[in-house]
Amino acid sequence: MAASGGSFDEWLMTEKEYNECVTLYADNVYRFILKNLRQEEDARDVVQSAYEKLWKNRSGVEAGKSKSYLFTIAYHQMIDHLRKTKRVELRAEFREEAKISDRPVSQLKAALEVALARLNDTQRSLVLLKDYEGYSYTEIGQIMELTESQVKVYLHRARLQLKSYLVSLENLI
Amino acid sequence: MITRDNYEEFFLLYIDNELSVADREAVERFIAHHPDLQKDWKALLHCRLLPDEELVFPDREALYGIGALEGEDNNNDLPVFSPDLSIVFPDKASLYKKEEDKRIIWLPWLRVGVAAAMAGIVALLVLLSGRHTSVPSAAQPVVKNNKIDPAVTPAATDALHSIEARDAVGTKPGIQPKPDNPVLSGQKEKKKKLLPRQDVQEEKESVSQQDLAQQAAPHDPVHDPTPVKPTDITATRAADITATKAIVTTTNVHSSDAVAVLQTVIPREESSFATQALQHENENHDPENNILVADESPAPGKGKLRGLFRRVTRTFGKTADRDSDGQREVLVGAFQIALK
Repeated sequence: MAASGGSFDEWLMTEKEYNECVTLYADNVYRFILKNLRQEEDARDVVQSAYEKLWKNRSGVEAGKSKSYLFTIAYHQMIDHLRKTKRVELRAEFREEAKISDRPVSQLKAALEVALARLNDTQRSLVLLKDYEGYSYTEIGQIMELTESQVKVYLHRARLQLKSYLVSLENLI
Repeated sequence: MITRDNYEEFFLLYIDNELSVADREAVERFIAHHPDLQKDWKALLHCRLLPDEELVFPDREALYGIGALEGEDNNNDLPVFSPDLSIVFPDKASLYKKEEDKRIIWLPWLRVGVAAAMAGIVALLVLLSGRHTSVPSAAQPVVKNNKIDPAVTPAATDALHSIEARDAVGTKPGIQPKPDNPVLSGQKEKKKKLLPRQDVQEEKESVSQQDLAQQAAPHDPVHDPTPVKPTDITATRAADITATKAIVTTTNVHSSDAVAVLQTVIPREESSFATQALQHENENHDPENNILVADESPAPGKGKLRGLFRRVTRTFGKTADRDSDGQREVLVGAFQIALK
């Protein structure tokens, strides 16, 4: 079956390419998922199932878009997981607040973690994809199935919310 | 062009790395010229997250294993997970049975529906036929009583004879006694029980059997083919009134018996108001006369049907085929239907 822009064999991801994808992006995907879920076990399961799906669908993955495809799969797996478990929000506040006192050296980082945890799932994913992975608005929109303007608006709101939290924290300190 | 009104958006785009090089330089110049916005600018810069390099996926070997399990030979479009054919559904026969059950479920409902419809039709036919034949069935016991005890007729009607023979002035002499008068003969057995023998003997002295027959014959509404003339009715009414008086005077002791006799002899249509009142009172108070009353009263089904038919006839008779402003229309009850 030939596809536009190349033959079927050109599109098919080989095991070598797949393993390269593991080497290059596994940590990135894991961080992204872990920052959202804040549960190592759950994050590991999500990443593993995302890679399984990548392997299953490798015939439809273009060579240069394996990372974005992987993040898309992982993001949707994470959303499914969040819908099933509904336990993230309850834990977040206490764990992240505790981190502030545990790490007095990197107070700013800890405060940022807390502020990140206070965002909703979409905002958090936007910030993480932007800051961690450096995706453009367009790429983020493709991963999260949002328009470019939505990504821009939501992300800017998330930034202002983070800033507001940090400023208020500075005022308290 | 960046201004104090839109600088925040430019700051955010700068942090998101969505600005061109020229715009980035413009933002940096704008910040340099506006030191009062430095605080906002620094706060936004702190909002950028830096990836935590310490976080690494702990089980990367497992991810490699996914591809290794399938092998390099799977470059062709082979399925990742081949089906395990050893796993079979243990109770496949029950699945086939379920499909059969579905068919069986539908058929009984159909059958039940047909059976219910048939039962309804049969019940309706029985009900309608029972109503239509209610008149003869109500008359049956009367005829039966007549056949059972023809010999009792003279004795059972003794009281009646004694009352009516005295005032039987207007009775038509040519009228022949009707031997099988249903009303009269149907009550003979009853009267035989009710009337004391002594009273019967006294009445016998003043009345004859022929007089009784002559008096009773015009009161037969069913079997007498001879039409009753108005003069006969008048005479009969006069006799009724006299008979009522006789009842009042002679039945002080046995009033109930006399009233029973009166009920049997005088039909309601031809009796006076006083007689009807007495009959009605007796109907209400004497349970023993219920049999007699039942003989006289019309069949309940017939009465209900007649009432229903009358209502329908009146409704349509009054309202059908009305013309309103040249437009033909039918008014049925409260509904006005225009006719084309």
